[in-house]
Order: sequence, then structure tokens, then C-alpha cells
Amino acid sequence: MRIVERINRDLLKPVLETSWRFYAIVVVCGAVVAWALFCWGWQLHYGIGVTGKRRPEFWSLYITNFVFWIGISHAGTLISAILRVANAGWRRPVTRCAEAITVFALLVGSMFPIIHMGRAWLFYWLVPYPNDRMLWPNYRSPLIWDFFAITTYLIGSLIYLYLPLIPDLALLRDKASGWRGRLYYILSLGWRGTETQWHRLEKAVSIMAIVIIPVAVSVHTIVSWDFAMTINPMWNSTIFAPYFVTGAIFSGIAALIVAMAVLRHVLHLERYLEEKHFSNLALLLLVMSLLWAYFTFSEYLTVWYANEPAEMAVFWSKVWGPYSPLFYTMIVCCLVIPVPIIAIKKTRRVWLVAIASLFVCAGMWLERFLIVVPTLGHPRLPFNWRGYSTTWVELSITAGTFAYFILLYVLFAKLFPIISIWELKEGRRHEEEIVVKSDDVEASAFQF
Amino acid sequence: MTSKHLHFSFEGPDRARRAVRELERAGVVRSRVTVMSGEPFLEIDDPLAAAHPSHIGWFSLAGGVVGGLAGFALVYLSSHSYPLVTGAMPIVPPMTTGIVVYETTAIGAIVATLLRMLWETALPGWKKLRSDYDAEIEDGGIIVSTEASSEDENKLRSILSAAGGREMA
Repeated sequence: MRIVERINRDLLKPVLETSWRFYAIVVVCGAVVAWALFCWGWQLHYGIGVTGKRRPEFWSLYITNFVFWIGISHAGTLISAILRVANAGWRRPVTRCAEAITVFALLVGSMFPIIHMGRAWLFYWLVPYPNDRMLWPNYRSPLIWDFFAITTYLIGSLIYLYLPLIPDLALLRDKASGWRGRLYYILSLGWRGTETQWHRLEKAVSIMAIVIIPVAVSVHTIVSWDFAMTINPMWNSTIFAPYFVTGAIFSGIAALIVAMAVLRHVLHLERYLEEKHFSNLALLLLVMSLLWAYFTFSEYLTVWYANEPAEMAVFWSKVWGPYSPLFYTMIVCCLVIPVPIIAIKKTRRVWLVAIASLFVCAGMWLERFLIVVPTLGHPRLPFNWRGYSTTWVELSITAGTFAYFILLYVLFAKLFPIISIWELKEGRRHEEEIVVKSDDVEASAFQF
Repeated sequence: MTSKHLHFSFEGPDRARRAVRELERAGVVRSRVTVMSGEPFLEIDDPLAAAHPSHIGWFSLAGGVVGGLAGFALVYLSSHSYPLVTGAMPIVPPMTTGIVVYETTAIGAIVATLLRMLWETALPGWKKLRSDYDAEIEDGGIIVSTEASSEDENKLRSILSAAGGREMA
């Protein structure tokens, strides 16, 4: 069997054939999502008081989730764009898995401001438009910057996901029938694979990759400014933007590795998502882990050294107080567990790296929680201090959004090839050409 | 004089490239030769790209400029549309406005890139799919098609066959 036919067969199989696992995941995740929707309805009916949000803890689990998911979204488009710009050949099987994570993480993350604000039917107040008194939103507020940044990133990421998908949609159009065939017929826009189309597509994707990198960086920078622009203790920090971006890329790579490991196992993609892909991503994860540790240390050291009372109250609540179990769990998850696993070559195996990445995801969620909650619980006036306790409503909605993300991702992998088929074919051909050329060089050297 | 579309399928880019060269040598204008494939073959595309350079880059730049100006106009005009008291602080501060302009510049560039790409590739274009396409490319075949007048038809057919092509119905 020719390599092109084998790639088509292997990568279209998960799309065109359905196993019981797909239905099982859809049912389980769908049930959790349905429960979360019920809880959200409960919250809408009884009011925001059913959550753990009390004075002064007005930002709690929902904003933690918002920051976490926006961070996870950095897995895809940013990493894919950097690898494209750097022309890293090993990126080919990785990019689409990553780009899909971005789109779905952004969709999930951007739901949280709406859930958080309680009166969800007024969500359009987030959009810059004049109110009844013709007063426009305050463009000096980081919250309106969020709107612009996240909207730009979402639109950009959707287009960046869609453009390289067009040739694969055309392939599916020619292979599928029924409603799927019609869907792919429409979505592939009449793609024929002419040389002009290929040339322009590659050009557009290259430009998009360059444009999307600064957008991705700006998104988590602006999310960090939601905190840093206030004068609250341990929020008003100049390094918050790079700290957040580093954490976002760190958690994003971890999420990507977990997703790839699951896809590899469930869809039998061992031939395409190889050990080397996990090894390369694991090394990136190692770098980001150390960078994250460096930023965390810098952040905590300067606060401790300055010894300013309001800052120290938050500091001690994390390091020695009620939040310390979470703090040390975070350190273990983000540093103590993943670093040795990845640093030692023998333990850099697919499933071990995936487990380490799962710990990183959990650790980074805790990191977001520890940024949001302890500061609000310790405002500058001590009479106002309060501990935070969550409720079943918040926990259920949080669990529901994780299930929603998995559900969206699974549906995407069911409808579209999760690995870019044409890019893979192109990559394999380049590899073959390199082998042929090196054989020629060896042959001519022998003749000489 | 009637004309006919000739569609020939080739195995591998080398044969397809040879066919294109032979057609050019026979006097067929390059822009009248279409090569279709399931993956990009830049070695075939390059001469065409040089003859018809893409303007996507310029449109991205222009889109960015338009997006940035639109962002600034939104902030400036809407902030001045209401007599808000800001205590001698600027109504349109450059640094915070810059953040909004930064994002609108990016979205302008992204949308312009998409639109220009669709324009240059003639997408959406479902009509041509029916008249000038074969799904064989998806299994690795490369199709070279050209328009031939009734006088040249046999000549071009033999050129394409000699290059290793197989005529398609």
C-alpha cells in the first residue's frame, strides 16, 4: 500500500468509523454538562448567593476557571504558530490537536465572565456599545481590554484552525457520503488543490502564524492586568504579565501532551504521534516548568523581602496559613513531579510524560486559585478578612466545563481529522526526498 | 473553433513537472495549465507563483492599518460622545487606547488575510468542482489539465501521454 493511501486510511478511520468509546464519552460528558446546566439554572433562579462569593471574596472559582482556561488556550495556536514560523518539521502531527485545544478552551473560558456576573441575560454589557444614556464603556478598564483581546484571539484562532483544515475537508468531501458529505462539501468551499490554491494557502497560513503570536501573548498579558492594575496585595506586580504568559504556555503544553497521549491511545495513532513528539514537547515543558519556578520564586521573594504588612498577610496565608496545603501541592505538581520525570531520559516515556503533564494541569489550576482567592480574602483593612469556602454549585459548574471541553474536543475529533493529513503527507515526502538526496550524495562520494 | 479540456493524471511530481514543461515548450501559456494535487508541490508551483505574485501580505498590512484606525476611532469618538468628568485626566489616554488599537490592528490583519486569500484562490467556488476536478488527487495522483483547441488537441494529448500521464474521462 502506498504511503498516501495508508495515511488516508489511518487518519480518516476515526472520522468515518465510530466505536462504542465515542458514545460512552459523549454520554458521560453530556450527563456532567447537563448537571452543570441544571446548577447554572439553580444559580440564575436563586441568585449569586448560592456560590461561595461573599464580601470581600467577589472573585473566586469562576474567575479561577476563567484564567485557567484562557491559559490552556495558549497550548494551541501559540505553540503551533511558533513551530510553523520556526519551520520545525516535527510539528506536522501536533498542530491541529493543539489548535483545536485553543478554540475550545477559549470558548469554555469566555463563558466564565458571563456565569460569574450572575445576571447572565445582561451579558451584552460586556460588549462595547453605548448604554441607554449613550455612555460607552470605560476603555481604560482592563475588563474591556479582555473583551478585545479574547475576541481577537478567538476569531484569529478559529481562522487559523480552519484555513489548514480546508484541504482535509476536501479529502473528506470526496470520501464521505450522506449528511457528512454535504457538510464537508460546504465547508471545503470547493477546494480543488490547484497550485494557486496551495501557494496562497501556505502564504496565508504563514502570515496568520506571524500575526497570531503577538495576539496570543497579549491575551494572557491582559488577563494578568485584570489583577496587576489594581493595588491589591500580591496583585500589583510588574512581572505579572510575563508570569501569566509563562504559566499559560506551561499549562497549555501540559494540556496538549495529555490530549495527544489520549488521542494516540484511543485512536491508535502511534505511527503518527511518535515518541519523539512527546519527547520534544516534554523538553519544552521542562523549560517552561523551570521558567515558571523562577518567576514564582522572584514574585514571592520580593514580597517577603519588602515585608510590607498588607502583602505579608497574603504571603503568609499562602505559605504558612490556610492556603498552604494548596500552595505546596502546587509546587509538587508543577515542579517536584514533572521535572525529574522529564529531565531523566529513561523516564521520558509517553505515558509518564502524560501523567507528569496531568499533574502540571492540576498544579496550574491551583496556581490560578492561589492568585485569585487569598488576595481578595486579605484586603488592606484587616476587619474585612475572610476565608473562602466553595459550594456544590460552583464545583458542579467547574466540573461541567471540564466535561464540556472534553465533549467539544471529542466531537471535533469525530467530525474532522485531528492530524493534518496534507501536512503529514507533505512532511513524509520531504523526509523521503532528504533520504534520496543523502543516498545520492553517498553514491557520488563513493564514485569519487 | 471549439476547445476542450484535457485532464491527465500523473504519478509523482517529477512526471507532472515534466508535462508542464513540455506543454510550455509547445507554446501553451503557463496560466492555462492547471495542476491539482492532494498536497502542495512547491517545485511545480514556483514558476507560476513568480509570474503571479500574491498580494496577501500587502492586504494583511492594509487590513492592520484599517483595523488600527477603526479601533482608535471607536475609542476616540465614543469617549468624546459623552461629557464625562475625568478630573483633568486625559479622556483618551495613549497607553490604554494603544491596547485596544493593538487588538483591532491584529483583527484587521487577520480578517484581511482571510478575505484576500479567498479572493486569490477563487473560493468559495463550488461550480468549478463539477467541471474541472477529479477526486483521484486525494489518493496521491497529480492532475495536469489544460484547454486545447481542436487543432492542438491531438498534439497536446500526445505530449501529456509521453510525459507519463493517463488521460481521464
